[in-house]
Amino acid sequence: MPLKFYQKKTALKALQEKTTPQILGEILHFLLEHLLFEKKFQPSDKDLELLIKKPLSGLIEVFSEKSFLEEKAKEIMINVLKSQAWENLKKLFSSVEEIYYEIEGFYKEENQILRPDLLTINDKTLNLFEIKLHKEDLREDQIELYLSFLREIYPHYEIRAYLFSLDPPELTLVKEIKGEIKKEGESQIHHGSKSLFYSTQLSLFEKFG
Amino acid sequence: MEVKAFFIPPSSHFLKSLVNYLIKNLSFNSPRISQTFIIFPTKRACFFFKYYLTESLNNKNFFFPKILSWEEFLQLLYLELTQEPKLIFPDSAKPLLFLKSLSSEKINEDPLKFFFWASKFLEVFEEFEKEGKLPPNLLYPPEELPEQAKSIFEDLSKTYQDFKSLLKNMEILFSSFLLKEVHELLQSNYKQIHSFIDGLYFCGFAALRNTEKEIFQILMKTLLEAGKAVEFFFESTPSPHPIILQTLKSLNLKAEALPEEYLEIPFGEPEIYFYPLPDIESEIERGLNLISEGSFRPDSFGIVLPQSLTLLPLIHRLENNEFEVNISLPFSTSFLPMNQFILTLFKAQKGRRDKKYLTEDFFKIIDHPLLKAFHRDNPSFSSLLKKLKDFFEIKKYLEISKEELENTLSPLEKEFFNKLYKIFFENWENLETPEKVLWALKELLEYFRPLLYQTEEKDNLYTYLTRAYIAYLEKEVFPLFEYSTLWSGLPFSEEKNLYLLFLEYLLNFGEISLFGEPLAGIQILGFLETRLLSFENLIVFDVNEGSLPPSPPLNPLLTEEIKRYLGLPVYRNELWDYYFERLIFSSKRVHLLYLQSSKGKSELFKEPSRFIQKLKWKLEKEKKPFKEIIFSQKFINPKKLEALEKKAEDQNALLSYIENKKLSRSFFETYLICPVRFYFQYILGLKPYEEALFEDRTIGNFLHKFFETLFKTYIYKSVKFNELSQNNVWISLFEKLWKEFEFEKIFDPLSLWLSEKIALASIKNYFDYLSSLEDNAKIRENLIIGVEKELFTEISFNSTTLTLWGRVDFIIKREEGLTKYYLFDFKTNPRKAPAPKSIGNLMKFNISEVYDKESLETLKDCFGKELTNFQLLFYLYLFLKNKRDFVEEEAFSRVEINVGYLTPSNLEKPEKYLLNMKPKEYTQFLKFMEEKFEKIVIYILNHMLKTSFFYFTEDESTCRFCNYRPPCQNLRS
Repeated sequence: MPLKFYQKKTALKALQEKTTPQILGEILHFLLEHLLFEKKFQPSDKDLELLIKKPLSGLIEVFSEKSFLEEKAKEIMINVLKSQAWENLKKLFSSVEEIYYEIEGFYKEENQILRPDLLTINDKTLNLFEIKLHKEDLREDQIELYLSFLREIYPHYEIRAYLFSLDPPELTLVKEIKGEIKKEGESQIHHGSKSLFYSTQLSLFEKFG
Repeated sequence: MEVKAFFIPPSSHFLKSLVNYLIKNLSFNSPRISQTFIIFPTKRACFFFKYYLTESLNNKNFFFPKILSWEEFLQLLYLELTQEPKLIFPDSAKPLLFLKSLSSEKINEDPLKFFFWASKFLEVFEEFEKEGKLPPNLLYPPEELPEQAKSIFEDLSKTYQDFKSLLKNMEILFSSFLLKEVHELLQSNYKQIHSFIDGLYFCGFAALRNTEKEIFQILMKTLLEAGKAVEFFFESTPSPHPIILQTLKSLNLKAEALPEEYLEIPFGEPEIYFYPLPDIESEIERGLNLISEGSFRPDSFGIVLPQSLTLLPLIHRLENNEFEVNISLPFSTSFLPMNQFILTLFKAQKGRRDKKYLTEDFFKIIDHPLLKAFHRDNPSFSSLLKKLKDFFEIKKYLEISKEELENTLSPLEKEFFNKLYKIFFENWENLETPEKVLWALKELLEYFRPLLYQTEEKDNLYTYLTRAYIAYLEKEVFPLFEYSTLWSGLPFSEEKNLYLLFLEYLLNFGEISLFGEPLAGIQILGFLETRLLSFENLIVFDVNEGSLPPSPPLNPLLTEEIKRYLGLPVYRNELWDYYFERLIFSSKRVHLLYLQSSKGKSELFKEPSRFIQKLKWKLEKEKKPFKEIIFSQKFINPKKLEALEKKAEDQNALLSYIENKKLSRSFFETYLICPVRFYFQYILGLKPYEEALFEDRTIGNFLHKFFETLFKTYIYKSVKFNELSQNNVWISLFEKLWKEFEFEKIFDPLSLWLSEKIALASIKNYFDYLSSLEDNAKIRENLIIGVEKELFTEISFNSTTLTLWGRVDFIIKREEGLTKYYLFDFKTNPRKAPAPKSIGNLMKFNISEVYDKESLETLKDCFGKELTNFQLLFYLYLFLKNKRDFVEEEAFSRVEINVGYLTPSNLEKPEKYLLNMKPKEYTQFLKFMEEKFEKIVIYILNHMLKTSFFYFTEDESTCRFCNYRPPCQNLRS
């Protein structure tokens, strides 16, 4: 076996490894996380524009698509803000005590770093939110992974996993777990394995078109 | 609450000790930890910290704190705090914006020079950004600076403010200016950080610039007031390095040693080995011998490359080993094949005149290794390349147009050629807008896209370098040409090649980053990437002055004197000294490899780094052990091979050649000059190494052709040169041939004019020479009886008949009182002359049965220096064999025959003869030629066949221009 390289591969536009829908996903992600974290349920146009511009400021490689991305992100968000799904989401967020975004957790059973989109904790209830453009973009195995991880840490909490899809706006309860007693006999993790620092996240907006 | 600060000694494993401390003092089982920020100076340290954290929290599911590098933290703060997000442009765009901000009267130099000065002034601005100060004017700038630089210095304050205003108006920010931007945002919006930061841990920072210090202070104050934790960890013993002391002082911190319970390893000393080595090859070999094959933890082996270029030979040597590696270091774009290819395209454009390219530039593109590798399996490309090569070789044009090349191609070849031409030439011809540059670049990458896919499947260094290069273009180059506003109103907009020049500037100074991910195997790191890391085995290459500490290019605008005047801090190598010290003492075993050679002032001169000297001095002073491993050269017996052994197949090849081919004077001459050269050419049939294609088509060749054509028109006609020189026949011929040779496509106008004058003068001189001989009745009649005349003879050799052959340039019969026959060989070198004095030696040569090296050398010496007489004598021999075709038998005793060189470019002596002897000597010589020369030829043939070896010549002047030099040197050593 010859020399084996473990090197980061920057996603290249030239090879269509970084697509416009993926970048739009990053922008909407940032925007929604901030609106919900700040509990800003009726953002002004200015708020939206600011939260769209912020993630774009560092994405110089998509400069030529900047206007399109700004317009598209705003159009999607305006539609979302008018929807019943947003109203439902508002209810879930308005009274929660703790909101977390961009969290990373280590799930020892799978030896993986997980990054759920949003997590709220309130009165022995954990709500996990995954954001997708289309409902069918969701990978349920990933949700299972998140839930298993959370259940290990919060065995006595009730945990619900929601999908918030943007086009059309819809909030779906994907799975719900009632609190239970933590089981004994956990599998060993293998520290230092190569898979350790590949962070896992559901891919966003795969079928945007 | 107050700020805590701790020292963790490098030998105690900084990151692991830090993890031990944090695990005890923070809770990782709540997502709330995600609002605790752990900040490191480098991304690599973040990576290792995460690795150790996971390892230490073995058997647990947990949440990570926010682990960020300082750069990532600044970006996060900017995004969270700003209310007017600007576009963060790559620093590559800075010179453009700087030029835009200058008033036009400050710019009248050529753009390339100005890009250089702009980049130097931007470094000055960056210094002020780091210090958080406004630059003052420099009223008396150094005299030696160019006028424009001086004028900008005198007005530095306003220039800086104009530049910053322009950035503000255009809503642009550069990543290197982010520090000051965040500083300003924090000053007004500091309370905002409460919403997303719960605690802050600064880990492993060493030196701080003023703006950084102020950012730290604002964060400390804000978080402490809210009762949140702020802690500092310095990698240092309790007796800190001066640079750490300075940082503690500037932050007003009092640090204490981290309690021992948290230290991963108690205080220890590394084993240190020094390796002075003579060259890079030995250095790499020695370094790699320190690693055994196997699978390693990421902190088992650290290979540090202060010179990133060493990566190439290192990986080359590692390629076939079963290792896993992470490579994390910066690498200059200038060493990448794709970058070099693009720069070759630019060179061709700069040399282009209208629609014509310099042939050399053109050829360098189509013959570029990258293109040849890309089309390795494409017969269309190989055939096109061969056709173009042949065309250039024959025509030897100085400049070439697309149309001229197209005319030589078949319709299919033309179609393929046109595609190449468009991508590599046409697209780059009229770059009047930034968009066109972008288009040309993207088309080029699109063309090479299969190469990217192809290499993608292969796991090799080239794949990663190419990917990183494309990423560099997409991030640092394309956006500049996508944003046309950057260019509008720019001075030099009239400059035809502005865009191309700027692109060239970018590609010449680009830098790509390789990053090892996921964490695995041996770590190959740049020096700065080692910060805070600890290895069991550390191998540091190139610990030489110039590499460690590095010697960055001098900025004439930031000399110590200017810095002092401007109020900027002066740093020498304190920081590098600290990093080196901590690297050494953080490892268990340290191997320091460096070149040590003392070949004077040449580039071979290498001096060990000052850090090596300091470390040795320190160890000796403290009476601590270290080992210096002296390089032991494996001496290879330098005895050179005397000869190549002749094998049976060589003998067969030789026999076949002499029996089936016409044997020319070159055949014999080559053997006499060097039997090994003869072996390459006639036995192996190797074509001579390709000579430079664009060697000037000499005037000598033209003169040869001229006389050949002229004399052919006078064959067997009496010609009077005093008459010929007066009529216009030769002038017409001259003009016709001059046109045919197309010298205007080869020479520049001045050389063309001079060459024509020289050619005319040479001809005129020769005519005058002959005319004067006619006028003095030394020549009464001239009769040209042979031009390019082929002469043959057959000889019996070992019961077979061999054919000898030669082509004589001119055979001239002259009446000079006595009838004389002259055999002339045309020579372009005016100094070429026969060696009459050597004839005596030849006549005395004793033909023996000995066929060794010495006998061959003796014979060789009989033909004069560089065998100058052999050709003439060989032709004379052939002429004598064929004399009945030229001279009536009864007249033979009354005629005289001579051989010589015709060198019209020698203005004093255009004809040089071999035979200048008295009649008696001449008769003896002629007898020798008729009776003995053939025996000498047969002796040479026997030598070829009977010797067991092909001998190497010992005459180095022969080797200097030998076409077979590379394979010969290989065989001999």
